[in-house]
Amino acid sequence: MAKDDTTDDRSLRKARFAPYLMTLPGLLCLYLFFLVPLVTLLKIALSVRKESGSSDVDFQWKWSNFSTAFTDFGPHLERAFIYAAIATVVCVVVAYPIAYFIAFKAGRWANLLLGLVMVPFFTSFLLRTIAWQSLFADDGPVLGIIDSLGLLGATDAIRLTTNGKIMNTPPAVIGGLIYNFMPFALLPIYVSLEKVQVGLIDAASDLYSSFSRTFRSVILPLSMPGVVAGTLLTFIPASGDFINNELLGNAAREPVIGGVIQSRFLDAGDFPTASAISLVLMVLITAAVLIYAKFLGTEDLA
Amino acid sequence: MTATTTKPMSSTSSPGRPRRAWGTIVLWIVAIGGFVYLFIPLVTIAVFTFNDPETKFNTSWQGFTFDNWLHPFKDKAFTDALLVSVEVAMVACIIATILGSLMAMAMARYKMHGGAAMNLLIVLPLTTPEIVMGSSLFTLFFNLGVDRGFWTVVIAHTLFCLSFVAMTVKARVRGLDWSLEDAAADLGSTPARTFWQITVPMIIPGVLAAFLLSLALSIDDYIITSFVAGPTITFPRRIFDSARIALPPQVHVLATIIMLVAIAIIVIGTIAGNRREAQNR
Amino acid sequence: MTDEPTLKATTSDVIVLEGVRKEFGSFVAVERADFSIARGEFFSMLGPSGCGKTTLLKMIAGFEQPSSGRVLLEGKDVSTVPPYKRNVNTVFQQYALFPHMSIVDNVAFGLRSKKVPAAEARKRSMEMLEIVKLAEFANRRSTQLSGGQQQRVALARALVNLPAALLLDEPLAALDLKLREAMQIELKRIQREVNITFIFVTHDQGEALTMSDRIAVMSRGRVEQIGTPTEIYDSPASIFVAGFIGSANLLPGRLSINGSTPTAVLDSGVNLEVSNVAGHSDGDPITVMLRPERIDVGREARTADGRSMPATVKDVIFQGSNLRVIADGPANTELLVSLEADDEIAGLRPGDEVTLSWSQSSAFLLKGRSEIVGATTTDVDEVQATMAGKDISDKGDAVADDGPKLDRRKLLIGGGVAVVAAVGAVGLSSIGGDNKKGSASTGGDTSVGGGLGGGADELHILNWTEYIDVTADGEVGTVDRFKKATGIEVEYSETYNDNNEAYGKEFAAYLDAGSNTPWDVVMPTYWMVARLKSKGWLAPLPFNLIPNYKNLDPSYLNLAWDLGAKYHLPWQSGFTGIAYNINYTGRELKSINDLFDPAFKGKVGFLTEMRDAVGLVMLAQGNDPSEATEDTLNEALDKIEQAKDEGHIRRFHGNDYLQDLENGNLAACTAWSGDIAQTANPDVRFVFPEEGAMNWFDSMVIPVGAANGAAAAKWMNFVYDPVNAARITAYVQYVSPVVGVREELEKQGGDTAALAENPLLFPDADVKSRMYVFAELPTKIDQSVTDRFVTITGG
Repeated sequence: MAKDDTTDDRSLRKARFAPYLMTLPGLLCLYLFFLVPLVTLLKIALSVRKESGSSDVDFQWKWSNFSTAFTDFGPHLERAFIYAAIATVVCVVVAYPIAYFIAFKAGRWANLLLGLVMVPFFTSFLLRTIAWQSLFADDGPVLGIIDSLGLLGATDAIRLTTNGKIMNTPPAVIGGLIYNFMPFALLPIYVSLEKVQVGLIDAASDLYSSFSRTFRSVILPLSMPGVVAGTLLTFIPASGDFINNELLGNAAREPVIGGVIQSRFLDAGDFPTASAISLVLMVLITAAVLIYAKFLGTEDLA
Repeated sequence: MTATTTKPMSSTSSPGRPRRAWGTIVLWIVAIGGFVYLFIPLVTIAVFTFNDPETKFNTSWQGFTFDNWLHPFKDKAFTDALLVSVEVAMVACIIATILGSLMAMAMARYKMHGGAAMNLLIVLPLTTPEIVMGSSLFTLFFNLGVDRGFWTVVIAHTLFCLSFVAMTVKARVRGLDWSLEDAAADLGSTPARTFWQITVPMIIPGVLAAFLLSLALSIDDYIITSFVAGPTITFPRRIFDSARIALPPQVHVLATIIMLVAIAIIVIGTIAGNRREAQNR
Repeated sequence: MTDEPTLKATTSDVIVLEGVRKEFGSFVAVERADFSIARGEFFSMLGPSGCGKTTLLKMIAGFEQPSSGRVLLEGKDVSTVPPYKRNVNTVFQQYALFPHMSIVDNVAFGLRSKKVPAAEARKRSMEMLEIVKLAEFANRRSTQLSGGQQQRVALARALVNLPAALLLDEPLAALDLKLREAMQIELKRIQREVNITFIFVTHDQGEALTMSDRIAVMSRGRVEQIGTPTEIYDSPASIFVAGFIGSANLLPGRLSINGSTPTAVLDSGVNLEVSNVAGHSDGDPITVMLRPERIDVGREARTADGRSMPATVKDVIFQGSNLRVIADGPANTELLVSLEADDEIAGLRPGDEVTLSWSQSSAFLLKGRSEIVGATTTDVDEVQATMAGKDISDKGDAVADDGPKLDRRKLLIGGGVAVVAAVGAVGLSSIGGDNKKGSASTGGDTSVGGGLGGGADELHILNWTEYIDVTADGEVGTVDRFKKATGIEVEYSETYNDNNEAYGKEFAAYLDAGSNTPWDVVMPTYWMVARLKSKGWLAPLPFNLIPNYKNLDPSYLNLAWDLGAKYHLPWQSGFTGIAYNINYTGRELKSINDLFDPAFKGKVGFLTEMRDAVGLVMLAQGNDPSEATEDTLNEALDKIEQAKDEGHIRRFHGNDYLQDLENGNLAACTAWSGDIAQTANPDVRFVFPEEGAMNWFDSMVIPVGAANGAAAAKWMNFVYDPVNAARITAYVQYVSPVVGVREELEKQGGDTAALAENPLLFPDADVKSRMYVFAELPTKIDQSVTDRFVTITGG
């Protein structure tokens, strides 16, 4: 029907039963298995262990658990965030041209290329990271190439390698993070680039704008929502990741917050501390996201 | 990824700008380099399926053999774990797809009271680090005294897939032409018939894409699973736990099989899509 | 013409609207519609955007329901009947063709919905496609058709159902001009051919005038006038209609009826004769309408005769066969005249003084004073547009919004929901909050019972990785042999990686919560067994079901923390020494202190097992781990910490050092004796250090409350048979606690027999003297050492 004179507001027509029924099961699921557990987590974060080594806890409004978590594990948090931030920046910077390529230069093959970007998802990420273990190994190809190019000294100087090694160092961890999260950065950027109408670019060049100017003032701003989404989708999981650190890094010397949470929970059974750290992590991430969103002025994060 | 999109034509480059051509070359290099980068480990894994390791770890090249491909299911532990993963994924993803699609349809087409809150609730799991989700589910089950096992894994997987499905389907559904439903009703089709004959075919591409995405997420999940699985060993858990002691080539074979299946689906989907588009010209 | 029956029926009005009104909140879309539409009529609803015509159409179709009033279809009240039950069909503005069906299937959709058999439906659809001249496209998809063709398919799809009325919602709006004009003719032709009522909604008055039998002109929810095109054009019922349809010159004034000829006294001072005075009274405010084509232009002046006025030409627009002249009349009123071009008129120039004249019947009276004075449009483009039949009236009302008054309510409801949800969440999370401890075990009870389930069909075993012989290369592993011998279903898990981790994950996580672990048999290391026992988490072993218990090496019966070994049955014993890869060390290693050789900086690994790591270092420092004191402990911890800080230690590891040794990430590390024995790599070697090695053992335990106690007992019995124990030892190459294994191995001869002589598997007194067991520490010291170690290793 033409959408002119009346309010084409289907809500006024049909928002009685059906839609609410439709959302009910999903909402229930989210409520029971997401919200309630978070509250449980909060409760436990405010509890104290009954005896050392035990998992039994007493609810005691112990707010100090949070401050303890902060002070004791501050460096771990910091490290995780730094790793994640570096990885995110590199991911976005590298993903953008690739997404651009697929969006504008790939023509018919765009869907195929996108699919190929998704293929790593279907391979166990553990195996992929283990593959990087071989690649980063002391006698592996990465060091081999650097060495044969004679750059080992240079990479040592900029701390990319440590004493000619990459395995078990932060750069290896970050490398793993970058690899694992690249598709997360790429897809949203692609989606928003795809929406940029070619007509706009043509119009810009018709108005004597050089490519770099067109890019800066037309393409980049229009693709911003995608960049934001990609950044968030990368940064958030990366800050909680600990697998890369365990497999590629030196989890003993340079632990990250994710590893701490896991070991506190599963190894030490120290639920209150672990829960407190979890919540602190979550709050920090949410804060970072909000600041970021405000800074860039984007509202719809969806 | 099976939906066809009409691609914008490549933007015409302004004539005779050497700077631009140089930029295009760089772009090609970066793009190709990027894909190579993405696939290096995958190729590594695939190559190692032909390795004949004398040691217990399939990580250094020892010799070429087809043996692993002839006996891909030799290592029962890994095969069993893969089956468990597939079982979990099937159950969880189907539930998540149904629930998530329902939510997405309702939210995208009707203005509902509390729509913003619902949207927030869906997005929140996506912004929660896996470790927090895993640990909170762990404490939930622990508190309730629920034995952790297959069903707790299914619940956990359903949860995080739900958000992905809802968002994916919502995005796809937004742009569809809903007057088709009105047309069907106008032509005498009862609501039930309209749903099956008109609505479902319209949303199938989006729903299918969401389902595939959630499959990928579920089969590969480690962190959340490690918290809630108890004794249930899924494929990623098996790999991680065993990787310290032994990594037989069968693991690589299984992983490569999954990868090839995925590539096959994508290629077939693209060809079918391209052919359909050509037909429509 | 197809063979459907002609639609002559009893009543002649197919649609009747009685007092129909539609409101959306506070916005009134349709004020009141009272009219009927006859059978076979081509009826248009015409008006600018926002006038309510589409709403009216939707109410006829069934997509909206009237707020009040009734809609009658073929005599029946269908006001609340849903669209799919009404016998009307709609042609949508965007066609709404089903993209996944072929054209003929699209057309047949309505018939199939009514359960017309497929063959019949297809036949009738093809006939309809013939009528719209698209039969050859029957099997194509709609996306392959042009706009005009899609339009016709939509038409066919609607018509094939022979509805009582066909509703068309601005169907030609998306077409370009030429196509549109062609389609207008087509539509008319088709309508005549099928003789079905067409109800046509449009904002294009030229279109409506061309095609309709009758037109309903609407504005802002009101039906201004219903009539034939001629009636509407010549005798508009209101100023709106006059201005909306075509162009008009509107001259406001006052009516004066005295004397024979009624006169309109215009605001501009001119007096005009008017004709249709019926319904007007003396003194009424009125507007005189003069259509541009009814005005003549002459050069001679005339006296004021009530049918003329002087004017000055302002602009002349040439349009081929006719001219538009814009002239300034009295009081600077702009007037529009439309003339056929002829020689005399062709010479008109701006500035010329002319006389405009018309017949008396051309001056039409309208009620009310028009706000527009003069031509409804003099803008050149608008003139041309109007003449071409496009709508130039303004946009119409904005869409209503509900207003802010619901916001507070929404806030309250939202807040209420949130509170309920929060309370619910807290409540739910408190379920099961008070944790009961695992059931205590009754000591010394040797029957199954005593805290054990009696299950005998299933068995869940949790063990370290690679700690049992497997089925491979023609040999059947212990687990499989056990299954075959007893018929018990075994789930054998190798995920026991680290004692502390298992303590938390597999024991505390269940038993602290008051439920049972899923495991029936677990193999923790001795000190962890001690701790588990002290927590009451171990069930006493049902010795009556384990006759082979007698094969246990007696030295295990004297352990202080479990005299008589009532709660555990040793699995394997071994020691921690040094492993290295000679390719990367370049030399053989003999001593623990070799690990600290600066040449190996960054390539050394240490176990995360505190007793092994710290114990070995103590030995290297010349201290006795079995007599550990706080000082000697801290001395060792200091050294480890220093090595870590200096980067000497690459990483701390659990079971997973083998891979690193093989690929060169580690040159040397602390290692467990059996592990190296199992690797086939000849470069990776194990050394019993000259200072000594740490001795340990792992034991099988049954967690309290395990479901399958009977099966567990059978297992223990099975592996304590020397034959089976020998198989295990031959594979894992650790020290077996089962007496008689050595003899079994010797019996088999060959490589296996050689194992019987291996001092690592069967240590003699000398080796035993250099094995140390870590001291049992008081709890506080244990805790602080563990904490410090965990911190160093990055837990």
